[in-house]
Amino acid sequence: MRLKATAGANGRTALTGQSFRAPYHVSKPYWDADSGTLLVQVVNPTAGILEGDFLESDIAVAKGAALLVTTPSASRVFKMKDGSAECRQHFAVAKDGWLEVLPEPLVPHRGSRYRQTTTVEVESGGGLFFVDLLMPGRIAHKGEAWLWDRLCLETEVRVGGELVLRERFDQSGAGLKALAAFTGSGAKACFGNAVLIAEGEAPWVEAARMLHGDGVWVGVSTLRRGGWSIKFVAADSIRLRRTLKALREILAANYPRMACDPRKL
Amino acid sequence: MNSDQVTNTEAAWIAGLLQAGDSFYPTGSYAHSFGLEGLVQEGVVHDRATLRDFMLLSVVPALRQAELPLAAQAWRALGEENWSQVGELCRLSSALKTAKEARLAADNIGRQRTELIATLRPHPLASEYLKRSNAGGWPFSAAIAAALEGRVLGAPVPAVLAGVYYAAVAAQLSAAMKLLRLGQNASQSLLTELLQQAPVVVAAAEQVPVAEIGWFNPWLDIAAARHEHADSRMFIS
Repeated sequence: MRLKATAGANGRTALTGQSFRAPYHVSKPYWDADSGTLLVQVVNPTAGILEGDFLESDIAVAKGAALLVTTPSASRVFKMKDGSAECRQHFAVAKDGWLEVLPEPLVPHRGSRYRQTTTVEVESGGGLFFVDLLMPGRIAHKGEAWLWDRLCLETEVRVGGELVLRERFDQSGAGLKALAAFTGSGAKACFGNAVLIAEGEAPWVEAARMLHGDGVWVGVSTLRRGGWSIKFVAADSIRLRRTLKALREILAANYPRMACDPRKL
Repeated sequence: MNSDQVTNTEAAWIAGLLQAGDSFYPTGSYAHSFGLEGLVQEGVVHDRATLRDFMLLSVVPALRQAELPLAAQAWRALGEENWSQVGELCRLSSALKTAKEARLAADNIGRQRTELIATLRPHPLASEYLKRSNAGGWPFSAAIAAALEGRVLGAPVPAVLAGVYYAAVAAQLSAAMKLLRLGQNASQSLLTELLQQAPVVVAAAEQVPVAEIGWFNPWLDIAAARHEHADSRMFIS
């Protein structure tokens, strides 16, 4: 899938480049005039991520454009017999551009093997909010959790060409389950890992930190330059979603494009 | 009988690594808990048993997948005088630490140790490193400073990694003794148990390619981030 968002003379963002094929489908974009953001929903018309799938996406936001990309439902990674599935995604934001990537959670099933590589390049003066949400498994299916074979999530972020963040999550389900038990988050712990790239003051930080408590851990820290790492762990999926919603509301007060409702479509 | 003085070169680097790994060596690591104080404040680590869990579930994997592979890769790059790779590894080391305190701790300890090497053991590699680091604005790194010291001393990579492993584990347990009700014998028995894992961890770390360096514990990162704003604290990180 390839998307390119460009700002028109009237200030509205439009998709000036768009190509995709299965398992991607892109919905008709929606211009949210209040937040000045173009909302695009990316749908996987299959049941989920299957053995042998290779998903590749490239999203570029040009100067002055604002784009929110979301998905309508969780991405289930199904049990695999021998092979694995891979997703490579690349996001590029030009100066004065804004990109928010807000997918629904990843749900790795028993015996799945999945690798996701995310590379982000933001020009100085560009902005980005990217969130990865992870569920421990199909909790509603006989409590199936922490049973993936291999789960590797890699994220690399460059601002102005400089590497500011590299994260590599490559843990067994058993290892993460043990950590969740150790820290008291429990058997249904869910994870949120967000990166915010934005310039200027950050009066929102204290309010974001206050989301910590009642079974939710929240930490905010500055990156090497140009932004923040925001991590949150919740004891269950309801609290995870509630935390993300509250976090976006706090951030929207400072970054108005985040006032765009991802569920508008 | 030959009366010429015989020099054991292994004894030379062993003595050097012992000096570098000693708490007497002024790298400033004694002022850091590397996130442990944050986890103590969150009530997660509160006694020897939970400390042991923390070491086994978090500290050892992070050493195996991040700090030790960084040191191994830097040791190789320094040996080849591949300075662009050394610079990339310094930036990678900094970018791997999302919590500001963890990043600054590695930077400060790395800077202190690098400058000590250049002062105590004048060696062209150390002075070249400092010159290029300053010119390129490379972040400092405790793991890469250890690799540099190993190269200057002539120590092989497993010995350098074992030194990093020991220093990291001992520093963490030393901090734990100030944060918890933990005696000398309890901490030494834990240290002994953890050191028994060193050969396996070092061997695994040597095999980690640059593209696969990295590991994170979300709870530790969150605790470290929250520690930045704690009302009271004993350690810098």
